[in-house]
Amino acid sequence: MPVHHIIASVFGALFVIYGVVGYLSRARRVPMWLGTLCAAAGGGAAYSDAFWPMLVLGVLTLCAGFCATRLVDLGWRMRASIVLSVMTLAFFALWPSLDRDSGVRLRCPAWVKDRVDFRLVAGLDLRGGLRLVYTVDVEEAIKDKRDRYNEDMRTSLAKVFDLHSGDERPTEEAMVKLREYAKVEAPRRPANTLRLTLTDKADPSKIDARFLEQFRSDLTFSQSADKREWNFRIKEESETAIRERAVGQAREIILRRVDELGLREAAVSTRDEDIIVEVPGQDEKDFATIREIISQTARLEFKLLDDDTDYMGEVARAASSGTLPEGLEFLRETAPVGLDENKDQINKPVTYAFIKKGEKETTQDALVRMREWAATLEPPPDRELGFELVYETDPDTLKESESGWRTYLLRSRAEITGDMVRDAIAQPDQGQGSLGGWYVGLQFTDQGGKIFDRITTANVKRRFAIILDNRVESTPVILTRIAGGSASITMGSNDPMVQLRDARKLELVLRSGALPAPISPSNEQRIGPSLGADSIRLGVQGAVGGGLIVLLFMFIYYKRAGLIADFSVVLNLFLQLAVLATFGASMTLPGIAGLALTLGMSVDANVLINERIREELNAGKSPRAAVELGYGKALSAIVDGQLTTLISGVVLAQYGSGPIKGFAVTLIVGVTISIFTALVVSRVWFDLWVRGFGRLKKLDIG
Amino acid sequence: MQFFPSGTVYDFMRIRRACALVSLLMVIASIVAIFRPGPNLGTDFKGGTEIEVAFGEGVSSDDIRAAVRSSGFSNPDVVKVDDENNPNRYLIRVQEVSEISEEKRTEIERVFCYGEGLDPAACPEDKQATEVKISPGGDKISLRFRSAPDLAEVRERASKIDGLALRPGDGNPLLQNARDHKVEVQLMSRGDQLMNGLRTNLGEAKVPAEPLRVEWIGPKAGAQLRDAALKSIAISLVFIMAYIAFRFDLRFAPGAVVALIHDAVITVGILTLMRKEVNLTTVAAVLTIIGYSVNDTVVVFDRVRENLGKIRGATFASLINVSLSEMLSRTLITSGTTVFSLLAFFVRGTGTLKDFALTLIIGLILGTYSSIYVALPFTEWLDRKFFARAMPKKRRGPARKSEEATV
Repeated sequence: MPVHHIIASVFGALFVIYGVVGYLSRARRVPMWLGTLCAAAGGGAAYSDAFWPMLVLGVLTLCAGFCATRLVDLGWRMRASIVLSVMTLAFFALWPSLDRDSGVRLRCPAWVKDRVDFRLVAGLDLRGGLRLVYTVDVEEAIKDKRDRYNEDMRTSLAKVFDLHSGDERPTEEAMVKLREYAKVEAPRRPANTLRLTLTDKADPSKIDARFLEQFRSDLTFSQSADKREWNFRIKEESETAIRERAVGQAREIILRRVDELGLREAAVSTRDEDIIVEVPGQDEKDFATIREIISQTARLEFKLLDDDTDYMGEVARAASSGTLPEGLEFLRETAPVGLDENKDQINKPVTYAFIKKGEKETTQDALVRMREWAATLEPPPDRELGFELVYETDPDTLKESESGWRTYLLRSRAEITGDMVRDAIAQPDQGQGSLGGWYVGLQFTDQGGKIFDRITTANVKRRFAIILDNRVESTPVILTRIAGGSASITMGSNDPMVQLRDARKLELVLRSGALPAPISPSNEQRIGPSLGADSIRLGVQGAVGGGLIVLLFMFIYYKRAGLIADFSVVLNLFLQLAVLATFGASMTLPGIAGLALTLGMSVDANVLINERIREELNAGKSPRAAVELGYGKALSAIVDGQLTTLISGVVLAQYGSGPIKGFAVTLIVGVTISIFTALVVSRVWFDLWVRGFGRLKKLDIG
Repeated sequence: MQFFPSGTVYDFMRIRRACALVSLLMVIASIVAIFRPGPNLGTDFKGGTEIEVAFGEGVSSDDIRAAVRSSGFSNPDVVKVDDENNPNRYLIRVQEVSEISEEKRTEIERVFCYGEGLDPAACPEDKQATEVKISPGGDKISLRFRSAPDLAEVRERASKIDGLALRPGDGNPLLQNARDHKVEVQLMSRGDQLMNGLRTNLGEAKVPAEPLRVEWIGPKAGAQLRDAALKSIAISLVFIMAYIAFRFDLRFAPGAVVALIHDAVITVGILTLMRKEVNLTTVAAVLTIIGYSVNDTVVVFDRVRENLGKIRGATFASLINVSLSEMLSRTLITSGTTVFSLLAFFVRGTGTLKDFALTLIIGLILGTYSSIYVALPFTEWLDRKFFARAMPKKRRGPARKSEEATV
């Protein structure tokens, strides 16, 4: 019987017990019957193997039972329940990390490990590794964009001065001739301006509203009094858009590459215009490869598909099942293969191979297996295999996930390469009958447009593949001949949200080949492994040593109240680690220092409370009143003190970077938790002490 | 156990003048030190290249300095790092980054015949580059030519440029795109150059194959980091001040802010005088000190506010004495335990960790001192000097009560 079914039956038993007790005891009816509700829901969650709902409901069920006891009073029982629930949830969040690489060695069953994704990982400075910071050269991207406008403006001017007409690009002669009328200059700096000067021969009234209309959306302009000199500047919001796009694109590309290398533990993050890549490990050769691969320009290619040859069909017939890699199967689809005499589409079934990624396998590993197998095949001359990532949608949750890779038979010749693509942009489809749809508008350079015209003419109703860095990204069907250098690719899905996402993705793919976002390394840190190991040892020793001394002191100084304080400080540490684990934060040295500091503040809160209670006792109050008053009066000092620290933590997290940010995050988490542990957790103990077992005559605080 | 018996009132305010003088002198000395000689800014803020190397036996810092100088770096900073496992571990810092200066840029453009008004004899058409781009990180030059370039010739031309070191290997320069004749020339990073220089000057045996750590920050990134750090300090100051003004009274805010500026300035001053490096970690430490100092001050203020309502007919100064005495155990226990746990880091830690702990310890001690001898005396002085006479009848809350107390 699977574990979650056993747990479900435990819930069932609790359901029955609670129901019976609630029926028999009138006084306990409310908590007990609430408990039965939780148990029923928890049983359902356990049965369908939903771990966290099951855990939360389980904790709630037990809390309901606890609230039905007779201990102290209901308020106290509820507070104690909250503390216990938080502790339990935190323990489960932290359990796998405790098992893995801490000195604690708390064995965590595989069943829990599979269901809890939270891991506390050691940061780069503790493990050693490489940290690369790349800066996106936004100015370069803006300049590129400006140069596009420059070209557009010249074309428009050629039309305005009747040197050219039609949608085609103007000829070289027309451009030479244009210089007699007008000159467009793109200064080296600032990179966002264009200067248009009209000669005496030109009629300034030609630069009218209609001409300006085309540029109004992205450019602002000013003119001289005689309207012969114009200054155009890219609008600020357009610049922001360019910046965001450049950074997003660069990040996407770097992510792909890091993925491609199979670096599972590498992390890619962005901050303003910086893209930060962190790779743990020590292998110098790896680092060299990473640096090299990241700084390469993306390679975008368009290749035609060969759907006429059913090559995979032959492979499938020849293959014996034993030699195929695990999870590989041959599937069939219907592909368009051109037009017949009546100009109707011909469809032909073709076979392709699909490899399903294994349960414990990454998508990248599945591709490696696929490639290994493909290397044993011999495609026909001038043909090659391309691989595309396949997604599958879970019919229940509608969640999409990567399921494996499929093949395409491609013509080896790259008809169009990235430098022939001018621009690509995802746009909403405003045609009739396509509510909310999206497509990708694609513009080619002169040369690219001509080639694309030729290809589309010869291959109507056939598919071609868009390939980025050797991975097939999309296989659109050519519907008709496309002349004039611009095309649009519509998305296959019916769901507009999926269409938008796919369009954005394809836009990025096409642009990364066309407009490589210029990135340059701006900072590099290599942390040697010996440094990392030393740091871990010293950091842990420092923390443990310092912590033990403080705990011991508190016990000596405050006796039993000191033990309560010690408990809440240790719990504080434990909860902080659990919260950091759920954030997926990595522990760095400044992070550990932040942890130590908030532990100090948690000690402070407890000291404030204990001193207050002591004062009240000295003033002759009863133990119960002293505790009540002590907490009440210490509250404002604790909250004010912690909140001011929280303020600097938040500011640091907002404006800080790298190590400072790690420090700030632990500070924020720690301060929040220490308010909880000081005001709620220790209070629960104090109340149990003074009120739990009859009336306490004397409270001894050191 | 109890360090200070309850009910005892210590006369803190008696020595406030002497303390004010000491604090003032320390602040002035720190400000002077911050301007001259100035803090020892780390690579984080200055930009530059930094490597840490575990050398073999018998290498002195003078040898290293000489070796670094003779490989073409000016003004190297060589610091010995304490490390039990690597007795000869040194940190070498140079100002140079792999960035290419404006002059070098012009020279590169000249060598590759880029621009207008070229001498046709030296620059025949097929040798003219139509585009010269230098990456901001200074690790590569990309060139575009009219016709297929001779890569060996490009390499030769590039290596003629003074101070430009090409990365060794066959694929350099690399023909990136055959269609539009785009060539990429890869340059050696400063870290590689430093290691090479050390190897040739000190001998292969004494220099390991790989440094322990390499770090470089472009000057632009350094300036950005510095500005972000200053900005974050300024912003948290404003927020903390606003919070105190909101939670207490307007006249408490200046005292708290003076105290925390006092702590931050003197901490940086002491670090400057100790010639410790000021870097991002220091900024984190200083921000912690600010947070801690305010925490400490606010807790004491809280008690003063409470006593203002409770104790009548006493002077503000004696009221402060009472409040401080009541809080004395707490203040000392909290700072004591925190300093203690930091001492463990200071004693056991190395490098960054040690400096971080040291900064915090200095700051915490100052923070405790300042909430007793700076924040409250300043508030009292302010109250006596300005509020007492300017506003004889205050409207509300603690302010009015303190008014009664002083009269």
